[in-house]
Amino acid sequence: MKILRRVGLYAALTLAALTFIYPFLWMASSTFKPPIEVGSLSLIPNHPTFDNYRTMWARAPFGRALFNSAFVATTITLAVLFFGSMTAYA
Amino acid sequence: MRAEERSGTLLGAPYAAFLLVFAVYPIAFALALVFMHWDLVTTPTFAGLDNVRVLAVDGRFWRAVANTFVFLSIHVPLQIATALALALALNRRLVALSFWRAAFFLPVVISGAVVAILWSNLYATDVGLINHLLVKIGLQPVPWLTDPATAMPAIAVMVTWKNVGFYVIIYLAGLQYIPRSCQEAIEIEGASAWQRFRYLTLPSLLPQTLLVVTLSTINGFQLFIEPYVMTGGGPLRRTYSVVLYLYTNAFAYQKMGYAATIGVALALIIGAVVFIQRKTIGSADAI
Repeated sequence: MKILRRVGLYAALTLAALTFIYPFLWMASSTFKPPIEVGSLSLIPNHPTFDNYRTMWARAPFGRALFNSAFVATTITLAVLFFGSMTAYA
Repeated sequence: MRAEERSGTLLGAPYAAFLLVFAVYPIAFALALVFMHWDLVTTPTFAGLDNVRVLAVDGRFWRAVANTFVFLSIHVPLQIATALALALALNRRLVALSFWRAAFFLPVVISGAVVAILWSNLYATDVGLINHLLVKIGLQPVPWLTDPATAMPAIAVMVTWKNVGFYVIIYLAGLQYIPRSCQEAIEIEGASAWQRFRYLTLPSLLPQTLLVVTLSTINGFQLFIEPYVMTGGGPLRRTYSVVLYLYTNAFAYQKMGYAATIGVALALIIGAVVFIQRKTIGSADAI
């Protein structure tokens, strides 16, 4: 009885976790799919490709965007740490 | 003491200045704009109560408010139920506990725009995962985001999914605070699992529930990125949100005064709704 409930709990948790993780896995696997395959729901691309990544690097100023994000994140973290601790101390 | 006071003021000054510039000033500016016409380019002109008068009978605004209540009526109860259920499950001694906790927290740390795009694909009528599964178990596919009746509920479910990990943490913190002695006492009294939940856990978690209700309500009123990305407010304006309307007035129609009026009205509505919620739930203290 106890084991049965345990199994039930883990089964429910697995199902719930799957609804949280599967969409992201699908998103990640789609990055390796050619455009025609994006509609398919399988996690493993039939014709895996790095084209999407190549296009992204070529077309979008990705390095610049990454730098911008890193810059914003660093500035905010430092400023919050500095002024926040000062204010808390006050 | 005097030196300490002086250093305290000095240490607090940068944050106070920050607050003044980035919080007090914009709020005062927005309040002033309520009584102005301003197109972002020419100098603002005085408008008296024009904006308020137009807003009071603006069907689109009230449509957006009504939409928000549709959203909240699904989102808030669902958020409490899912967060509470997951927190109760995760409060046990589980194998790979941190894995489970991380799994449910995953969407919280992902950008709202990314989640919205992802779910547009999941909800897609012809190629979406959800309809794919529905067809597999022998049901009809549902045009989730293009049917006026299902679009807002679909967005409410998605937002619940995105935020549940955050509220699970709030509930988990609450669960740790239930005194061990109370749990032992109720077990010795011979209470069933349901009775333990109903008469110990649920009442003990009232402050957390109140917080979840408040935060998810505010979150609901500020709904913007999801309809902006997924539906553009359609179909038939059923997912049009107040903030989306505010944004459209400000940056598409260049009616800053009117946009500010919507913003102030929204703040008042949020305040009123949260006040009523707190009164009703607070009075249910003895559940």
